Amino acid sequence: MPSLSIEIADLTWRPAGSDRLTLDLRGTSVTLPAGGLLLISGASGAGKSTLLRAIAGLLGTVLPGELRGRLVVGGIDLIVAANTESGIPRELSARLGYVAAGPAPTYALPLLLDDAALPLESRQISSDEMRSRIERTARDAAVDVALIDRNLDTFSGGERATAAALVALVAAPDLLIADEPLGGLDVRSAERLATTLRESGATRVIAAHDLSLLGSATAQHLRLDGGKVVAKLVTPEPPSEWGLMPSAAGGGAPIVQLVRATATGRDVGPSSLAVMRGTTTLITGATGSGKSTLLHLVAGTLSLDTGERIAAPDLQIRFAPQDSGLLLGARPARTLLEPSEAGRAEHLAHRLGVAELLDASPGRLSDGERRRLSLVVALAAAPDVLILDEPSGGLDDERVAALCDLLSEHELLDGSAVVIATHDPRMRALSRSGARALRRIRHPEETGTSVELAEGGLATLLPAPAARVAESAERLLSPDLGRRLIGTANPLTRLGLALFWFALSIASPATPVAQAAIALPVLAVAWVSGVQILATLQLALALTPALAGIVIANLVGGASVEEAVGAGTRLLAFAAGSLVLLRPFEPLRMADAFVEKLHAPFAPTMALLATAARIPTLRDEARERRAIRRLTRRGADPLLLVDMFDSVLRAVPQLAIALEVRGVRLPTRAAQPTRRRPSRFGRADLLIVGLSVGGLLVSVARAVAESILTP
Amino acid sequence: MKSSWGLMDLVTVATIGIASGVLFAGWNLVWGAASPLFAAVLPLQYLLFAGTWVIAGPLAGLIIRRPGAALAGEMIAASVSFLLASQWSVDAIFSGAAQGVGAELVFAAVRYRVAGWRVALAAGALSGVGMVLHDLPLYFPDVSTSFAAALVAAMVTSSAIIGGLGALLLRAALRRSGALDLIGA
Repeated sequence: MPSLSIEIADLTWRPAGSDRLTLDLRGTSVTLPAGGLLLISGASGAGKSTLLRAIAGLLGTVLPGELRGRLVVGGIDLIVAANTESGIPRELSARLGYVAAGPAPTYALPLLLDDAALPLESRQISSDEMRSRIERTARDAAVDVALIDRNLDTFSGGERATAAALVALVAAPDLLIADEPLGGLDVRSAERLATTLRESGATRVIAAHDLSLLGSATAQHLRLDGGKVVAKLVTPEPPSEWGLMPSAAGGGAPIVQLVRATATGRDVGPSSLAVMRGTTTLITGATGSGKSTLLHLVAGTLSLDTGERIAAPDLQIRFAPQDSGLLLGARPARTLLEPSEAGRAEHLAHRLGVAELLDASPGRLSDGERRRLSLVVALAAAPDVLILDEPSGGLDDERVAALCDLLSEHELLDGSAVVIATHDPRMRALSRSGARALRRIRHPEETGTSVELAEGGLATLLPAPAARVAESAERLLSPDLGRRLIGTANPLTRLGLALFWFALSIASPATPVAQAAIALPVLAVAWVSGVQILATLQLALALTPALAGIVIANLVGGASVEEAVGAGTRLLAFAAGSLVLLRPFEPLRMADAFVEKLHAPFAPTMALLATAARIPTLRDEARERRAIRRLTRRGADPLLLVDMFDSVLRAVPQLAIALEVRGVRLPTRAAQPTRRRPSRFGRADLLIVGLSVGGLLVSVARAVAESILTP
Repeated sequence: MKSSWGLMDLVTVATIGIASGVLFAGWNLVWGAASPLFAAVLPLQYLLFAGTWVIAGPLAGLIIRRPGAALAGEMIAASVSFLLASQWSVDAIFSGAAQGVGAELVFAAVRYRVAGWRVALAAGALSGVGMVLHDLPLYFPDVSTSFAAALVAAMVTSSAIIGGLGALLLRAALRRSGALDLIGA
């Protein structure tokens, strides 16, 4: 295997649909030996991510556009690959570890254990080794081992950064590419991860705008601006700390108050916070402490489970979330502004350096530019309460200083209350000008405790005797009893059965008796394999209008009563048959079974699975988007459908990259991937197949009996 | 264009399929609620509503322009709609297949190189034919010929206009917003 050195010369990149070069390194050449370290710094939008993606082999292959110049990584000419291959060249992909974090999700599968296992499965590591390997790497990547079994959707920004590092490091790559690996991390985690990165023997290319923890004497530096190189050597600045800042101080009257508010499912314990008119409240705390959730509770975009939110009437609230896409959407920022806000918006945009971008499509801009635009939109309305979630993320020091100046200006903000959640020490610049009262609150130490809230069932909401009945009813109707007896059936068996019952239903005559003879055994099978009776009843209820429709339509169309009802009962039989498949629906186990037993191609299956796993996130995002937009009182938006498709398509490149760098295209027919959870057939499958055969015999018997009885 | 499906294409077709499926699932509920109202004039209900269910095939075919895109898009959408909320259950997969094959045939006929309004309309219409071939024998086997003819006309027209032209309009809006540049369409 050739040593993994990197040669870059006169590299340029023009993305599809753009007429300017986002990366223009003509006149620069860099040679990085195997095991070397290349650091890249620069403001947001300067082209750091683009250069990293070029070195990873993603430009031209996965991301559309034109790559020119010379780029050879590990002996592979990536310029040629950009024109011929549809993904990272295999030899490079097998040796690559790529870390990219950001506000938008960059994982492939939601459970961290599954996501970290993907690179190992693609490289055919044996399933026994996988878990221990992941845990070992977790310690190096500053990942709390308890996080491995949790859903990445519940992670804070900093936890996602460490998770991304874990997934990149787990396959022991020879080339490690990291895009802002320390973003969102508190000092301790950042130090631990930085040490791992510095001491790794891999060839490393790291981009960050704070290089202080990552620098080393033998590293090469490149500073980028506007896609071009402005310096080849740079001295890193020392890290900043919070220092002395007023911890809590009085202010005007409170206009929003949280009293022991909790939001279950988000691990935010009872928190209390008062937001005063005319003050700036800075909420600081370690990553994962729930600052974003607290902001949503204050804004009213997330509903409380217990506690109270007291707010003054007719408050105008504006929220600039960590993911600026939720506020901006697909159309230019200007369309989100009322005409009266336009002048103010232009002034603000000028201050923040995004004046020309008010009319640009947000999708084509860099993350930093979008953040600043969302700040402009939020500020332009001169709201009573302005809420900002990590506003300094991705901004370099100069811009952060400009932002702090803006937010400290008394005339600009007037009597507004500003609430900012941040972990970034640079935001302490807010305290320099004394015009606005500033208080800093540490979360959760000063707002309440962060508590693990236990899950309560239906029973916890009812008075005592009813609760007991409800509890025993739940236990009786729940499939756990069945599960303990027979284990859980393999998804392939259930799919096969659903199709079998469907075929049988079509083959049988459309009479109520025949179809019922099919539906009843199926329901028995379904209950045994884990379907809840309550879910069945709900489905039956949903079916009724459609059933009525089909029956009546057939009658109107000229069929006899018997035939019409028969058509209707066939619908019922279909529904019953599919219950076996529907609940519980476990897409991961289904994918495991398809890949292992049917040798389904790995990349398409994983692409489908990863996209499907995003549905709950998409639903939550849609809800969050609607809640944030509703604050701007824009009413019903007919183009929301376009917005929905636009936002889901925007997520495609990130997911494609995430899957590509986890190596899902590596397995071939000859080299099948291993699975962390092998797919098995067990007693459950035998049992439900047996029951189905029994049901089939009943149908046959009925048919035979009918033919005998009718002469 | 590169010769084989890359991950960008795979994730795009999965995304179009799944997003459309979510849309279809919601539309299933609308259909169910409206059914009793339209039951006396079922062809009219099909004319107004049916086209939405075939939009995934033409949309995927217009955006991705590769063999199998339209079929995959429609089948994924149908499966997702079934999993989320479908009164037609497993059958949704088969109607998705029939409709998807219709759209796929049109794109195959132009060798996946053309993606204008004529292709969109044809893809929608042929998806409608797929819908006819699947729904009529299964749900309306014993109706009179005139009723059946009305249903055929309604299904094909609705699919051509809402499914085919609707997909074209949606693609145009996405092109304007810049989303298609990001995925190389």
